[in-house]
Amino acid sequence: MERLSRLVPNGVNDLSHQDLEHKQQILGEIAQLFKDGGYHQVQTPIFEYYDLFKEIKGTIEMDRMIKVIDTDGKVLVLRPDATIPIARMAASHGADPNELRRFAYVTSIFRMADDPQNVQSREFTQAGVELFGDGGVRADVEVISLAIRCLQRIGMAGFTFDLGQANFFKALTAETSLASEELLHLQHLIETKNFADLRRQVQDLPVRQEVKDALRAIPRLYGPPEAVLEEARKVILNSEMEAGIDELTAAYEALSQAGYGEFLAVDLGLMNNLKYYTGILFQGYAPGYGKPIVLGGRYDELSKYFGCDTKATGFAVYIDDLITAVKNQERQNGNGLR
Amino acid sequence: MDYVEVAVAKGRLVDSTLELFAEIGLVFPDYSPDSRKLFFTNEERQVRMVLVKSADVPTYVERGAVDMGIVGKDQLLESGAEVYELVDLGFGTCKMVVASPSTAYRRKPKPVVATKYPKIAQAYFRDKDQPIETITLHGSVELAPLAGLSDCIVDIVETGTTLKENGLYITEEIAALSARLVVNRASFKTKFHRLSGLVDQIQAVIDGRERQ
Repeated sequence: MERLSRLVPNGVNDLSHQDLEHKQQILGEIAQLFKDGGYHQVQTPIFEYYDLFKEIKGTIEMDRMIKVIDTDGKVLVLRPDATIPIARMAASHGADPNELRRFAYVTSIFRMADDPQNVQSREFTQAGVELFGDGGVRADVEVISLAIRCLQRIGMAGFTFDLGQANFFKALTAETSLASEELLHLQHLIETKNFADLRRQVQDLPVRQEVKDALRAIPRLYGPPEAVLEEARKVILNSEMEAGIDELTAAYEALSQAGYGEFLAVDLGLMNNLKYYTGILFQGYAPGYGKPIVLGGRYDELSKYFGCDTKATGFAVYIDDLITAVKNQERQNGNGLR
Repeated sequence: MDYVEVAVAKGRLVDSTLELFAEIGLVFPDYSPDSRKLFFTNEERQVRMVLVKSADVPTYVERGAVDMGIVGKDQLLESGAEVYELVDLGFGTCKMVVASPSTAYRRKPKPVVATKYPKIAQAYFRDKDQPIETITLHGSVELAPLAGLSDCIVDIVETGTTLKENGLYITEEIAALSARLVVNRASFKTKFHRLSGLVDQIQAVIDGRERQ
């Protein structure tokens, strides 16, 4: 018989006191930055109704939520995402949609293991902020620079942030009448920069030649901001696409004026969770670490779902990934295969 | 300067890959087919090549243990790894198919499918609203129907000779496959200039071949 009492389940892990102290120290630094930026830390329940996450399209896959059954038979889930509950919180209590509000959180997130080889794939820590009540580029710039300062503060070297624009692809595909399944497939090919299959796929689409050219161009619209933004203007087909690029240009200019230019690249092929993001989105990468460690962006539609139309943007730092990336960096200063 | 690390799938793709690398002036002098060594270095270009089992290439690349990889589309589909799939290399072409001694499996409510690719098989039949049972094997999949282990198989075929010799024929084609150059998403960002240089060179060779 297996003696499960001696084992830790897959996807979760103990932390030794040294590791925990290290983690607390990093969390402390980040929490202080949030506080200095005027963000108030809030807390939401560890379990919520399944329906909350089920009814909001395109955020977390249904299969990846960890479910439990309540005493009355209703399905609950362990917090699979930090932003949605905070958006609900921000929208409730007769909130004024135009009031600037800044919230921060440090919390555990629970997801079904999509990666059986990762010890921390089912419970992991996120620290992040949400800024409500400002739809302007000023707000995007505020949260992006705060995200950059988080990595600077903990001494990460050589990181990069990619800026994207959710509306660019959305406004482009608004020119077409493609079915949502087809759009998802295109989106996947663009996201994975699968040039060969994208070219073949686009070839046969019932859309105008300019749309085909633009679709094929998107995954190449990656790299140094000035050059990419200029290239992007060449494939603009409507005013929304143009507005998207204008926004991104303004954000880049403000960020580089603030001294963050060296960390930035633009990637218009960046489009994870397109149903959720509605404007500028961004991801932070550490050198030698395979996954993004910061994810964020503008999500103006979400609070409408809770009956309060307030603009919003924010980001989350994947703390456990961040710690691993920092450790790799410290250990690795040599070359090549570890 | 850091090495750029490339994982290459052991087996049928190695020769074509080395040929491609040679065309862009990237050679690994210490490589020989009989060597037991698993990693090889080109000091001048600062590139290190590792040979790993093909099914492991997506994992190495996705997790950033290496920056890029050369692997068949079959392994990318099966692993579902989140990587950039930058170049269709045009070699290692084959097809993913369903093969069987007869089409009798189509009349079964839940046929048994033997395969090295359980995820691809499940996804393909799920799209057709056909429930199946998969049996995962690691080699000589063609044997399974003959041995009474399964009703049909899902596997890759190049020429179809092995199928024929074992009394199977292709009943359904799932996808056309070829070798791909894949890149870790974070490496592509943080080592952009070096990786895009290599990728562009490789793309140029492939484009040249296609024009011929």
